[in-house]
Amino acid sequence: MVNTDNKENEPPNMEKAHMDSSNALYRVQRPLQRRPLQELSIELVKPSQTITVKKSKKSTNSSSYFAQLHAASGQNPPPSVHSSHKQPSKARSPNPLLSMR
Amino acid sequence: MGDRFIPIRNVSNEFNFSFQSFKECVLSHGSNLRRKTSGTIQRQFMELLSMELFGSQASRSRAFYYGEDKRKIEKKMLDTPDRKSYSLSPISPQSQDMLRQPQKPKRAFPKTPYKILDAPYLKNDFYLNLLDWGQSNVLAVGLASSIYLWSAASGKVVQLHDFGATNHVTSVLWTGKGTQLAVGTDSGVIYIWDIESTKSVRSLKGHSERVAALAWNDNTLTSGGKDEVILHHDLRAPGCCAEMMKVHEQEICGLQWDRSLGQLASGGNDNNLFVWDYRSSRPLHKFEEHTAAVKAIGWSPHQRGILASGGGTIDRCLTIHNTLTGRLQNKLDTGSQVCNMAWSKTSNEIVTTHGFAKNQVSLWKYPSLKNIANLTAHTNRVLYLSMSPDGQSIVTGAGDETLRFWKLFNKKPKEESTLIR
Repeated sequence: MVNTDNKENEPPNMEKAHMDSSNALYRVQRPLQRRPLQELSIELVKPSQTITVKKSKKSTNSSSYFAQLHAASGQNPPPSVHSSHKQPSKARSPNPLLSMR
Repeated sequence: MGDRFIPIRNVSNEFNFSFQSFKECVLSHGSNLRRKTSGTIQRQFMELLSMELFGSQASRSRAFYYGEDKRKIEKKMLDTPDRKSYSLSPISPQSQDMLRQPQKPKRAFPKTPYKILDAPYLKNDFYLNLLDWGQSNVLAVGLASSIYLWSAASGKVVQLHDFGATNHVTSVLWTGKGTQLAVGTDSGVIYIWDIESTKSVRSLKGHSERVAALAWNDNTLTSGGKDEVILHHDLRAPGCCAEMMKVHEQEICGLQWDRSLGQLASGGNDNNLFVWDYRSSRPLHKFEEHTAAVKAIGWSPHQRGILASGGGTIDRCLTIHNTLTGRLQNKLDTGSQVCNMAWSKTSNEIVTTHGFAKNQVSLWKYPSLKNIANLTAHTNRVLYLSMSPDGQSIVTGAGDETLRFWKLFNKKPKEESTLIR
């Protein structure tokens, strides 16, 4: 029987990492100067925050990423940004009969 | 003509379709809805709908069944004004009765503590007992080498004493009516502090190593040390310790007196749980079910001789023993290291705090040991636990250096006087 003096303070091998607290409903805010038994405030963690982060990450992978970059820099995006996967459109004739052909 | 016997069956009367089988479906849908909305109105509506559609009969398991319809047909009785035919209500009398009955409010458990206190240097050590909420509504906390008092009524914080850098606090316990505080230290000396005068009135020697477990019964202060010894100190006697007992083979980390029964439970790092009678220096029972250190110990305040205990990391079990019979009554794997426990003063429930690896506070129903609630808020092991004097709140201390206050239990209902009936 293994019975060390301090066995209960040693984390088991399987569980060395602490519990994931990412699903916590709130965060405790500690001041820089800690005083014993000082009351601490909590900051509620909204689940929507994580969703918005995910959404913004997704948008960076989309094809409109370059358009966003140009919009941010104040420059007009090149035409290829908007219609990169489309066939080049033909110049339309002013004569409707000709365009019907 | 053959001689086959063809039974004449009145299909319309004997083959029935049981709408009752759909009752469960509706009710289960109702319970799902209840879970989502957690509103009593939805539940009431589903029950009412069920009552109106299927009546108040017990549900049948099959949709189709053979046999007579056993539903009682309304007997022709004398014409009374309260008959269903004359009722102005759109619902049946049974449903009306159901709606008239007062609804039992659903119990809600807090998701966040109602108060959080910072506890810098609160030791992350399983074997220590650094938190005690006394009868005077003052919380005593051992932070490194200092003792702090926090008044629950005023929120005032007082540093009672600092034992110096080399002598850390290892256990705290209020004695009597909350006017004296016993403090166990690394050196093995126990100090008794008078809170009104804020002075140390006694120092009890006898242990050669740290004192991590303290228990109190009338005028006796019992201490358990790393030196594997249990000492009974008579606080009335001017001298040193009164009695010494040594049966544990490793550090004693849990001690609890049942004051009404006069029995003491001691748990050790040797995985053993002993029960002692105050009249004897030999143990009454030795329970060896745990496979890890036994620190969490609690006597039921509702039933004599019921002792709950929790095991450490390898064991993780919550056990219930009856010390009057010496038998194991129930055992449950909680899934994580049991660090501390307390019985509710108002209801038959046990609250436990856990370490590796769930770091949560759990609530269990006695005697079924059904899990009622789990509070996951601490980000490290929840090592310390104490209950408020009114029995409504608990305070938990953890390795994340915070103390969190939870309101878990309701007030004890006032017992009606036997004189007024």
